[in-house]
Amino acid sequence: MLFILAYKNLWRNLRRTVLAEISIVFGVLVIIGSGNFINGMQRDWAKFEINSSTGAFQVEHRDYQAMGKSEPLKATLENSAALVEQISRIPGVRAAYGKLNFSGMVSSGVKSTFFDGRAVDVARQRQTLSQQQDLIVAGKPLGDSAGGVILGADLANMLGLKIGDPVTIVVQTLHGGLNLTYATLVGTKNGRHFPSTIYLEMPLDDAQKLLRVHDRVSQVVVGAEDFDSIPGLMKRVEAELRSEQAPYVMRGYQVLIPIYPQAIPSFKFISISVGIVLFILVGGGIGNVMAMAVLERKKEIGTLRALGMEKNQVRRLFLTEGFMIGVIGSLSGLLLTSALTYFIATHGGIHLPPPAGTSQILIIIPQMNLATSVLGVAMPLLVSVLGAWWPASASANLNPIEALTEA
Amino acid sequence: MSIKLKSVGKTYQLGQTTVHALRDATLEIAQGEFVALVGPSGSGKSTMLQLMGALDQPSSGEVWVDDQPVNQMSDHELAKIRRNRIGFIFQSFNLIPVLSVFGNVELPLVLQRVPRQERHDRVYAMLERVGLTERALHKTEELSGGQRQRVAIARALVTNPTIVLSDEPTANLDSKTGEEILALMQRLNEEQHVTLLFATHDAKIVKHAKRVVSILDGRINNDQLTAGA
Repeated sequence: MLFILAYKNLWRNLRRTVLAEISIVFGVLVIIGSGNFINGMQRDWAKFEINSSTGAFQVEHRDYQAMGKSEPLKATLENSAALVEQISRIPGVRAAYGKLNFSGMVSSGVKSTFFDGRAVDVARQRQTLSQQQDLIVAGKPLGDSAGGVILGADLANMLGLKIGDPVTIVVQTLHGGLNLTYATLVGTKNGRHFPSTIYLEMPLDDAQKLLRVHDRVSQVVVGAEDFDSIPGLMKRVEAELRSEQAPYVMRGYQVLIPIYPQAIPSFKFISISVGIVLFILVGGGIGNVMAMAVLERKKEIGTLRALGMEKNQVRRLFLTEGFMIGVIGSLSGLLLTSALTYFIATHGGIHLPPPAGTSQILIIIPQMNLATSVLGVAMPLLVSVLGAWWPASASANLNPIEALTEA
Repeated sequence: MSIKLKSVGKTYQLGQTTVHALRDATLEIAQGEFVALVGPSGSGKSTMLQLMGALDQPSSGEVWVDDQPVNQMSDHELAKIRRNRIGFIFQSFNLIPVLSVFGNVELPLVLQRVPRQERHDRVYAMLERVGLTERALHKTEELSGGQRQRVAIARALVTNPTIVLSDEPTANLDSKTGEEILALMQRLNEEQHVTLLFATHDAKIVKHAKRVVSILDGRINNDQLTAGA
């Protein structure tokens, strides 16, 4: 009965209730909508980096992070061809390729400088990284034939090289000797996961011969068939490789993508902060609505008290009204946000200009997220009840005689 | 004994001024009496009703409802007394506009936590007594003034209270409807032996009462049975 009374009371002043509901719907729309946008942006950003640079995850020697940075050839994975083959056969893996990290000097004949090099299995990389060509600024990706090299766009500029120019690459081999090879610049690239001023990329076979590291790689880059299944796939691959008693560790895209671990909490912090500020305002609005309701219904409150309604029942009546405003507003907001998210997602997403250093337009497909949705619904409910708390308490504490004698 | 006032005084503080709304009032009202409390505006009638209705507590003296002293009762206990022992009929009906006729009469029973089926039966029985069965599902705003006051009477009586207090129950009604309402209250008083006490300054309606208590300047100055008693 109290519930029915509270519900009916909501619609006594239709305009005021509708305005309160609109403010909640707007709040929910902003918090869940921005959450969905951030979630979609995060996914699309991650997907782009995964498909262009990092892969879903990488397998490397457990000592690589400790010593591989200074001496990359000292902590490599042996029997790499078999290892790549083994990983590629695991269900859920789209493809995998070996990558060897090394350093040396590169020369145009006129100028020389140090480089930070990546040697890749070109054919397998194409299968693994479907968007790696998006990072190409000029020329084309590495082909299947030997002798090609890609440089960071800034490195090529610094050396004064154009596509098709010859370059000389000098390295220190695994055993300490010097070796040299000639290659042709086939393309330049930019990307956030490497410094363009020192980046060099060449075919894996060429690099293994040059460095005298037969059948070894620094990492196996793994592509997943499905973005959402990456965590499970990582565990499956890890379990399979662990049974081989080999010194492998996995590094997921979350740590491989530069600034990703710092950026995501920042996004969440911004989103939650906006939500909190917004809902403080919404809570104030609801408090105002309920305070007006108490003022207008003083006489009725007096009547209810005269009929024997207790203070806490009067308080509960107004809190229930506040809660109902919150429920109706937040669920309507959730429904509207879901519909909008679905509409945007199925109509091409939100197009943003390309980030610095790339030519690719960013297409954000907003993505519903359970945690954001729960937060977006729970927060207005909470602020509705909190906003109604003071008016509800004031109504409970009204002197019934004063309330009854109210004109 | 249904209600008793022993040397009751009530004062209010209005700024720097102390207003003596009631002075040394002593009164006993027995079960089944139909009492009119008469006096001019500001004489203390409403204050006396509020004290008898456990809506307020006296500044001095004692108020007893069914051998229970209202003085010193907690808010919870006062609400319980009002819920179970006292019915109110207000001058301007004070119906809950969002509830139907049935809902308004049902409300006191809900507060008493009476089971749903019993509530239904009692509400319809009461509506039949006041002649509003056909209007049970109507909104109160669709009713005439007289019908609204009948709803208020049904609401006051549905809990079988010890006493029904009414402040100017006919003031917002035309004279014919007012007569009908008083006749109804008189009939219910006789049929249900419910104690009725109504405050009025209208001498015309006093004739329905069996006892008339006059109050002037916060003091009871006359208490007599009428010819019909």
